[in-house]
Amino acid sequence: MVAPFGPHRPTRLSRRIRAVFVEAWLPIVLVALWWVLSARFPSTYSPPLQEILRLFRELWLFEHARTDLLPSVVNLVLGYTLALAAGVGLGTWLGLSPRLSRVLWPTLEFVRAIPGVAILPVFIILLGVGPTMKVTLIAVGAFWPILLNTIDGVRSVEPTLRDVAASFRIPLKHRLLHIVLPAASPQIFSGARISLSVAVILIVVSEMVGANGGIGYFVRSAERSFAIPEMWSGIIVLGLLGYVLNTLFRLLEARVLAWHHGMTTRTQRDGR
Amino acid sequence: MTSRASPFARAGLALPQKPRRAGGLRGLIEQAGVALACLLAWHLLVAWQWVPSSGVSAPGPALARWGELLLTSAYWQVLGHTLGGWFIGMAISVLVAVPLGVAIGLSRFLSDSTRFTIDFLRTVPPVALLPVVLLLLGPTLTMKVTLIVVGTLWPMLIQSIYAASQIDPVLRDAAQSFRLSRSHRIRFLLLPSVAPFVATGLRIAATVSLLLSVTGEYIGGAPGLGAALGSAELAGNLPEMYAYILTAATLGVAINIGFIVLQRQLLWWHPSVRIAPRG
Repeated sequence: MVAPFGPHRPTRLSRRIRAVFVEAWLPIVLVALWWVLSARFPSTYSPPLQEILRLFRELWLFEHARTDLLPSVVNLVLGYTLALAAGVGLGTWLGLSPRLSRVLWPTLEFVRAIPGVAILPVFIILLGVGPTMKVTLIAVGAFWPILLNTIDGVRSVEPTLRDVAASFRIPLKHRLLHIVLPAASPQIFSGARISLSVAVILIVVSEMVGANGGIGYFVRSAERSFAIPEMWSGIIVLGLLGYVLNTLFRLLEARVLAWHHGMTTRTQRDGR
Repeated sequence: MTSRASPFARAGLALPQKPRRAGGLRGLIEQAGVALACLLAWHLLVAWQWVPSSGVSAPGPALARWGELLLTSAYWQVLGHTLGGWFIGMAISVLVAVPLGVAIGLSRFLSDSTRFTIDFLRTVPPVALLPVVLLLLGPTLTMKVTLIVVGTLWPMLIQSIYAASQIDPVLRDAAQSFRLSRSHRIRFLLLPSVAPFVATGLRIAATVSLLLSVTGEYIGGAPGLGAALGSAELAGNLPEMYAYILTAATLGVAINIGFIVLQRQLLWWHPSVRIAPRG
């Protein structure tokens, strides 16, 4: 390879434009392919993308967004918040008492291995198909990854830090807020991230079975009545929902863990 | 921005800490005691009518029914359907995702180009596609496998891309200057660098895969554990329903333990396994 003649250094701006272009070409090509192929060869199950997008505009901006999407999101947020509170709270407690967590370990491992869908029938019988059931199901399903990661995170707090805190007799409240929880937070976040995708799966599943509204119910009933373009529009909404939730989560994580990322890059740089 | 942040790699690489077995036999007895106490609490909750007996079976009948089921061939067929779908789906995911991910991860252009697309597709909840695959394929094994592949492909792919982009440059240069042959480079450079990350991806995918398998059966009606659970529910046969729930949990535990053991066996040389975590 021959180096370009003369000192050719791309400017910051042109590099950024190039980066955006490199990331964007594949999605654009894929969507264009979908558009062309579905227009050229329309079939019952894959209607033209144009038609789907037209329905998407008609249905989801913003009539059904209010009636079908909003309740789902509210249930999701409620259940997820409950799971976070319970998971971090109990996880911290168990993480601080190694004896307790050791004794409970096999039982916890067994209970958390129940796939969320398998307890769905129990919740339907006990709580009906209303919002209570959905919130409970999400809370229970999303609880386990957060709990286990919190226990692990709390237990792996630097022993020196723990000893220092003990010898200065720092009160429990300050020890939790300023030592234990910050040290455990990277791991708590990675548990919470797994929980988020579990929660999205569970809200959709619970709505596909329970029969009173929600985005999952919309998609499932569109499928049952062979309203294929409507079904696809709902699937697009679900995809966007997943992406938006994940992006929000990432922004929050970057903000809360800014100190952590800063520290790891610095130690890596200094280590070289 | 050369490295792609893997959402799983950081925390996932470390194996879950195994609580130390302090006290050996005594520890074991205590653990069993807690498990028995939970069973007893379950029994009392039902016996004292603190939970409606219309929805919760007592543990006795459930365990008894489970024992009976264990002796029927239908039960093992159900289990075979679920595990079969689980295995085929995982196998396809691995066979597609690992080579593809490594190829993408080794090329700067490819990993930049695919970043957004993969990031977007990863966040699409796999059950969103359940209606589509149901319409196209009906309540069959193929439907279930498709669902599993759609759900597990992305975590595997991301882990593999991340793994390939993390290969130590010093090692890579060394391999080049020694002119290692292609097969040796794969055997001694690529595989050891990629394997730990793929193992983490596998562990995550294994759980997701079981969840999706049961979902495809319960909602989609493909034969297997979920369908058996659904029909026990419809028949109002509570003990049988709970027997199948317990089965699902046992399966989940077995898969978890299986993968941890596998990881310890295959990656015994890797620091995440070698260095015992602090207890």
